[in-house]
Order: sequence, then structure tokens, then C-alpha cells
Amino acid sequence: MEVDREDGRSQNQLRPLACSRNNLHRAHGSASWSQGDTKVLAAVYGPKAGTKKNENPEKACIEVIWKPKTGQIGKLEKEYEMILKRTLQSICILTVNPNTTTSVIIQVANDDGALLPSAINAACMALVDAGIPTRHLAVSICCCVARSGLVVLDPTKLEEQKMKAFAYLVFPNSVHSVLPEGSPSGQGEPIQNGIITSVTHGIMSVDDYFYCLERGRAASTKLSDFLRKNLQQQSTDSSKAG
Amino acid sequence: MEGRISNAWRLTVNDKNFIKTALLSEIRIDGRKPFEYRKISIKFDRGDGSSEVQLGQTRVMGIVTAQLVQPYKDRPKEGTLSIFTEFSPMADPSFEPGRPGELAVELGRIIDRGLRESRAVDTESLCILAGKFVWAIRIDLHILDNGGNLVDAANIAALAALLTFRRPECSLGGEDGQEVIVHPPEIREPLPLTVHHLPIAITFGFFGNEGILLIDPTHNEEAVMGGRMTMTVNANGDICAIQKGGGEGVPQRVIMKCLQLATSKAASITKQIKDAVEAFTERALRKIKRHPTSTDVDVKEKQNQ
Amino acid sequence: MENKKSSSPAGFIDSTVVPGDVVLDLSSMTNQTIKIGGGLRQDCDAISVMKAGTLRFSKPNKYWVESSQKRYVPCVEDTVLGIVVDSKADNFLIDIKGPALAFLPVLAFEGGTRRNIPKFEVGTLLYLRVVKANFGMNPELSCTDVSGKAAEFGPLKDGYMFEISTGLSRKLLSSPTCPILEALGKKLSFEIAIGLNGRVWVNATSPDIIVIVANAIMKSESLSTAQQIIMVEHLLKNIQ
Repeated sequence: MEVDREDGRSQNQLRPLACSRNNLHRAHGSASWSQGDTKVLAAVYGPKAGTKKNENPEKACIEVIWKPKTGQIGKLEKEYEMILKRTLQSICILTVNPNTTTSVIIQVANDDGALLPSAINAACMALVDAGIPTRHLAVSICCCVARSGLVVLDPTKLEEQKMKAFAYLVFPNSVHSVLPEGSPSGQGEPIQNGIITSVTHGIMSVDDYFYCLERGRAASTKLSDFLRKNLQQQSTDSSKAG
Repeated sequence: MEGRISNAWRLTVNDKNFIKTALLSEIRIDGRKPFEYRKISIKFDRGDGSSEVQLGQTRVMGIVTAQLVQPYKDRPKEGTLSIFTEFSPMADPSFEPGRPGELAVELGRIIDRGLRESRAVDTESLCILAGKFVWAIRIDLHILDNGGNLVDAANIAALAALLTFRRPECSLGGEDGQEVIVHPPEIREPLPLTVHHLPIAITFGFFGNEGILLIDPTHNEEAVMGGRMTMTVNANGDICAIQKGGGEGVPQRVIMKCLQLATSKAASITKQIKDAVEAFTERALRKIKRHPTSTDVDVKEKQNQ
Repeated sequence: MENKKSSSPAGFIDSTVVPGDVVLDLSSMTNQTIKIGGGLRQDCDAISVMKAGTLRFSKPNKYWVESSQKRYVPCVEDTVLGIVVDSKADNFLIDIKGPALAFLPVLAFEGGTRRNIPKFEVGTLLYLRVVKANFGMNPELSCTDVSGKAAEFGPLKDGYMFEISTGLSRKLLSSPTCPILEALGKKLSFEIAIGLNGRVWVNATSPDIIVIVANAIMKSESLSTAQQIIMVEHLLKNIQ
């Protein structure tokens, strides 16, 4: 189980997380998210009346705009926009505000690995801040497979470059429920077990992938707790204000 | 069809009138006096030439990067400096993605004229090998939150980022002395840019025939005011740029007054930028010496605000 | 998965809930008639949360999630401040910070007939009541109270309008009078109209009073009650 990480972390250890919401004045919802030195800012405008061309007016439409730290947006960023859009579509309840568009704007402030997962976490918190109705939250994590076959979580940029393969995974948050444990909610499998998004880079064995899923899911529980605590923080703040 | 009108941001008739009438008695909606500047906060996220500036509710991020390129034919011994601005749809509901709008172009030009054309940054020291390799410095200015007066805020962000930027040291090597060796930061301390002076942009707003003048307008005031003028001046008292694109005419004595105000304001902003940069550089130096062994990592929470 | 179990919804009431939390299980309840408000949705027998906030319960059977946003979700009988955006033959189009523009029928005024339709220029500020907020339709507003009287509704002249969060506007409207308005009201005389959609209009005889009141309210957004009172005292001291 020994793994040598530059920053001395153990393989399942995440970098320090920080999240603050409502940091922009004009945006309807915003969040700043950082994992170690990776920092992303997300803003939400909407729901605004009307949908874009080629979108279903009977549902709410989600639009994602990715702003890199420097330079023009390339193919990679276009793919990030698309993955984010589909991920957010799957957590938002699109039937509540039909024929509206919600814009999510991502601004990268610094990329030190696990950029897309950080952006997904930021976007999700910005949606919550804007009060966009969601089925649940999305928590995202990057799992890396090292050449040695070990799986490490939340890699830095340097680690990402050295890895054999890595997977960006998105899970629903772990929820509190009055339902008896393990009981089906909706269809069959409890929703906690579903994977919303999986994007892999590089080559890995089937076992490695499933191990990534397992590690990722374990980390998603930690991340969910972090989100819940962060949201609690705000509601106590605002109830004080009364 | 409905989309466009319903999503547009608008001021009420009440607010438009109130902003004007209150100004007649020298009152502004945020409680400021006409010649009072908003609070500026300058933060540096990381050491690599990135700044975040807040001017009241306005927020701008400045990022400086550099690349070794071939110089322009007519200036073989000079590096280049280019400024990229975009009004991100993050900042304001009326900013749309895609081509930069008129205001974004104007903002970029004002800063470009103030900074580059006044030769604030020494481009000759960016030359590594004449005719072959020079540093091309790129400044990206991301507007994150539009609370008005983006020009002044973006200009401060650009200066702050430039002052903390470090480029890797280079030397010439190889058999013919024509090969460029870029030294990684661990081996040779990266170099700062040579900045001769700090051109500070100060924006004024004009209101109609009443001859009302104010400094540092908010976005609400911008929606009502009849004209604007940006004066870029430095601590030596030079004018680096003056931009007044049409709008209401302004008598010369008002220009004089603006210039006086701009010069004194520029002095205090210059000091603030320098102090912020100095504090940051000291902190950064200490960090390097200490060699942080390992970051203590577990899921930690930073409190909201 | 470590789903914390609590058999009754009591554990959730007045505490923070997060989207996805299941707060009620209808199959385990004896009385299955409940009313659910904003932020909750039904999926078979499970009532789950779709907006982060605090779960509230009011007797006998009403549940909702209380949260604070910059945008407004229209709700019948709310009083709101709207801005005229356009006028059509049958309706004025009004911006109330919601996902869609609201309709104000041109006859929805006290004694309104085809002959006395008011004229509003674009940008006029109105104090209004939400009368319809149906799914998938533009909300409908009125300039009268339930009995058809003009009451306080209608255009607001002069003064200054600013935006706050929906949570703060709820607090400003709550009784007993919230400390900040109470403190301001003791020293200053001003008129105020608060819309549940997060808009406030203030008017007074002199602009500096308007500016003080508006800034005190905007600043109170992130302050505790005690801090609010200190802040107001500080502001008031400066004017004397």
C-alpha cells in the first residue's frame, strides 16, 4: 500500500477543500471551489425565459460556458463544456421551469490537476446557490491508476502527467433519508450507487476501473459531507441575520 | 422573442431620477461623495503573475503568461506585450459569450494605450537573442463581476499581475552560442519584468447640463450618466492616455479639475499596488526558503466568507 | 452507504436539508394528506428535497424548504415589486425577477374598464399582488386586493428601488418588526415598500435619508441581529 506522493499524501487522501458561495454580486448564484492549488469559479444566471435553438422548449435548458485561465478555448474545453452540461442536466429537475435557460459559466483560476471534477463541484454548488431545483447534488472526483497499478485519489497536475490512466467520476451525493436503508428509491437500485458521469483517459484493466469506482465512491461520501457542512454553514448564517 | 426583453437588466424610472437628483445634493446611492473612490482590494492567489482585484463590487482577475517567440521583423530586439480582455458572461447578465463587444474592445484599447504605448514595461530586456528569441508577454484580463468602472479595476489587475510575474532566466549556449537554455525555477531564480512606471486609469462620469462630475462610477451610475472620461496618469505626473469617446461635451476647466483629481488618486493607488505587491513578494520569498515539507491534508473546511 | 436514518421527519424539521434528502415517507404515515411547498417534490411515497435550505413545518400538515435566493419563484398572494417592461393590448408585461415575465391585465385595477386603462412608461415601478402562478404559464398579477380595492397597490413614485435576497425580504416583512427597520424607524421618517421577490423601495423627504436606509438594509444581508443594530447605530450617528 506504500505510495510515494510528492506532497506526502496517502493514496486516498484528498487535498484540502475550500468552498464559498455567493461571492459574486451580479450573478444569480456563484461558488468558488478549490482542491489544493486547483481553483475554479462558477456563476449561474437563470432560469431565464426562452430556450436556445434546437433545445426542447418543454424542458429547462442548461448552457455551459468554459473560460480557460489564459488563451482560447480548444477541443478539450469544448468537451468539458459538453460533459458538464450533460452532468448538470442529469441532476437538475428540468420539468420545473420549462422553456427557460440556465447558464453556468466556469472560470478556471488555477489548474493543478483534477480540473474537470473541481469544475463540476463548483458548478453544482453554484446551482444550489442560485436555487435551481435539483434531484440531488453531484460530487466529482478524479481517480488515477499509477504505473505500479496503485490507485490514488485527487491527483495534482504533476501526478496526472505521470499516471498510466485516470478517471473523472461523478456520483450523486449521499443523502439523509427517512426511508429504511437500502430500500429502492424510484427504480430498483438505490440512487447512491449510480454513476452519473465517467470520463477516462489512458489504458487500464477492468479490475483497475472497478477499483477506481470503489475508491471514488468512498471519497464521494466524504465530499458529500463536506458539501452538507458547507450548506449548513450558510443557513445558520442567514438564520442569525433574522 | 420574450427571452430578450425579459432577461435584459434594467433600471427603474425611479432609480434613474433618484441617481440624478441625489447627485445635485452631492449624494451617491452607495453613500459616497462625488469624488470618493471605492475601496480597492488586491489579492494574489499564486505566485505566477495572477492577481484578483476588487473595486467595490467589481471584480477582475489578471493573469500574466510568457512565451518565447520570434520577434517582429521591424523590431528584432524587442519583446512584446499584448492584452486580452473579454467580458465574460459571468460578470453581467447582459454580457454574452462570443465576440467581444464594443465596450470590451474599448477597455482593452484604453489599457493597451496606457500600459504598452506609454512604454511602462521594458520590452528590450525581454530580448534573449536578437531576431530569434524574445519573450512575448500576454495579459489576460477576466472580468468576473461587473459593479461598474471595469476599466480602472482591470488596469489595476493588469499592473498587479505584471509586478508579481516572474519569467524563467535564460542564457545562451551551444557551440555557436545560438542555443537558448531556459533555466527551471528551482535552479535559477526567475526574473521579474522591468516596469518603469505604473500608469493608473481613473474614470469620471458626467451628468447632463447640470455639470455634475463624479469619479469611479458604479454600474447603476454608468446606466444613467451622459458621458465618461478615463485619464491614465502615473506618479510622475505624466498623462499616459486620455479617453473620452464622444458623449456630452466637457469644458476645459472640468478637464483640468479631473486631471488634478486623477493625479492625486493615482498616487494613492500606486502606493496601494506597491504595498500589496511588496507584502506578497515577502511572503512568497519566505515560503520558498522554508520549503514546505508536506501539506496537511484531509477534508478541511474553510468557512464561508 | 452510510445513510443516516431517522424514522420521523421531526429530525429534519428546522435543520438544514440538501437536495436528494428524503424527509417524509408517505407509506409510513397514518395521515397521508400533507401540503408541500417550495423546495420539496414527491416521488411515489417519498417526499424529497430539491433545494438546499431549512426544512420548515407548520401545523397541521404543511412542509416547505426555506431558502434565500437572488431570483424569485412566484407564489399566489405574495406581494411583489414589478418593473413595467412592455405594454400589450390586454396586459402589461412585468419583470418580477422570476423565470418568466408576469402579466398584469390592463383591467386589473380598482374600477378598471376599457376606458380608463392606465399608461405606464417602461421602467415604471409597481407594487403588486400575485394572483396566479400556474405551472408552465406566465404568472398573473393584480393591482388590487382580494376585494378589488386599490389598497396600497399601484405605481410607486419617486424614491429609490434596490434588490436584496428573497430571504432578507421575508425577514423584513416578518412580524414583529425586524430590528433593523425598528431601529431605523425610531430615528428617521421614510416610506418603504417591500416585495417578497427581493425588491425594496424607499422614499423620504431628502435623498440622504433614502441612501442611509437603503444601505443599512443592503448591508444587513450578511449580519446577525446584534451586528445589524450596531451597524444601524453607527450609520445614524454619522448623520447627526
